[in-house]
Amino acid sequence: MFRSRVRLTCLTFTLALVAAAGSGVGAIKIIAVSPVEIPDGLADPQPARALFDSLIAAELMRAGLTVVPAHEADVIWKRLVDSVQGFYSALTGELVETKYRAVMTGTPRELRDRFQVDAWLRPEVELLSVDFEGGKARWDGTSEGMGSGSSGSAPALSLVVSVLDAAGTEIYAGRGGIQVVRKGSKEVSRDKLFKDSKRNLQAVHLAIDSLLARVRVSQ
Amino acid sequence: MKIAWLLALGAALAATPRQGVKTIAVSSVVLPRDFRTLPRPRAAFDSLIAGQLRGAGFTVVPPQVSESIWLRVRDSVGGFYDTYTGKLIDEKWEAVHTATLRELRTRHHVDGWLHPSIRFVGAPFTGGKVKWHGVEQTSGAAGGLGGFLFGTKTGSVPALSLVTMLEDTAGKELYVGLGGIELAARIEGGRFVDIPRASLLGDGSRNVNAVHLALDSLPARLAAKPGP
Repeated sequence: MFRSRVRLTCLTFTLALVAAAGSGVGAIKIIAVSPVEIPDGLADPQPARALFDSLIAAELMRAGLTVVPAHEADVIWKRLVDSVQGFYSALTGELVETKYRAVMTGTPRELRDRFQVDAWLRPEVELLSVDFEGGKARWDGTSEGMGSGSSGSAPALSLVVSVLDAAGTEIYAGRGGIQVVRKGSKEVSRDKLFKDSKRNLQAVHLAIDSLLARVRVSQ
Repeated sequence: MKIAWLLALGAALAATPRQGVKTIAVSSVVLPRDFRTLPRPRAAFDSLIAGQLRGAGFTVVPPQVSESIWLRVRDSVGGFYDTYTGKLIDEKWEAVHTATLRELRTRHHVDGWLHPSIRFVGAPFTGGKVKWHGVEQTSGAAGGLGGFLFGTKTGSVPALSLVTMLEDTAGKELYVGLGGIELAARIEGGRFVDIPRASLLGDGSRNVNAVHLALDSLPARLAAKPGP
């Protein structure tokens, strides 16, 4: 009885893995990566962008994927944005959906045509508000001490990734918390952001490990 | 006798606009993104603010006037947002702002332009009490005996406040007023629980109180400033 239940569980698990391998994520062999978007307000976004660009590329390559460098996707993206003269409204500052869709579907199509990519990964460092309780903030798979006996909300950073197939359809989304940017009334100094290499790497793992696990299954 | 004189002076200050500001153009209240599709709170606050200003002796130019000038001037410069980033282009915005002020002054004899907005703020709480921008509410966290037994929690909880800013026709800030409206979340079981958006900004007495808090000291503040 017990053995048949184990067999059934194994069969279910195998079927799930086969299903994952057959999906868009499982079929990825070549992936293009865009440069990491960094929120406004950081004095110099370039070092943080370079850091996460290289961490993400390294993890993807370690998983056996061929990575098309970030500048290739960036060049295509910028040219398509130029072709619609920007996708924000000059009058309201809001996104013009039709223009945005043209760029969002045109970029993976061109990446596929030029580099035979199966997927396009778009990473972003996002500034968000997180709740903390009992002196600890917990968000997007990570946690950080805020000072004892306090609760409330504080701004924090997370790495957010989205993977699209060649048709521009999102096939994966992942998030990993990086660090809080204010503790109590004190802002974390800008030069102390992204300096904890353990937290940075952990954020990358949290954001893309599920993707890589599904890719490995198919290999 | 002295008290009567002071009371009379106070009443006169409250009823008579000073510092040359007699006519105020009012913008429609700006609501947080979550509320922008709801016409009711905007109309309610617009009406309360206009009523409060008229009661204080000001002539009020309604929001439709400044809005139509603003949109016409904005369209004439092709908008003031960068189409590549969605960010404001400061120089273009300033040009629209200055031109609107000029037209409000020359065509409508406006002395000041009031910009009201409702904003999310972090209201500090200690235990069960939250105090911010002149109002007080209970947070839902343990306070009193519960706080004594289980520990008093401190922090900040999301709340809504009315912010009013008056500028003169040269664009100089003359007054900023704040009035707390209500909490946008409560603490339940140690977690923040959002209050449904549809049930916020609907409490007439809280709204009236916020408008009073944000505008009551305007006449006195203008009287204290040197004339133009």
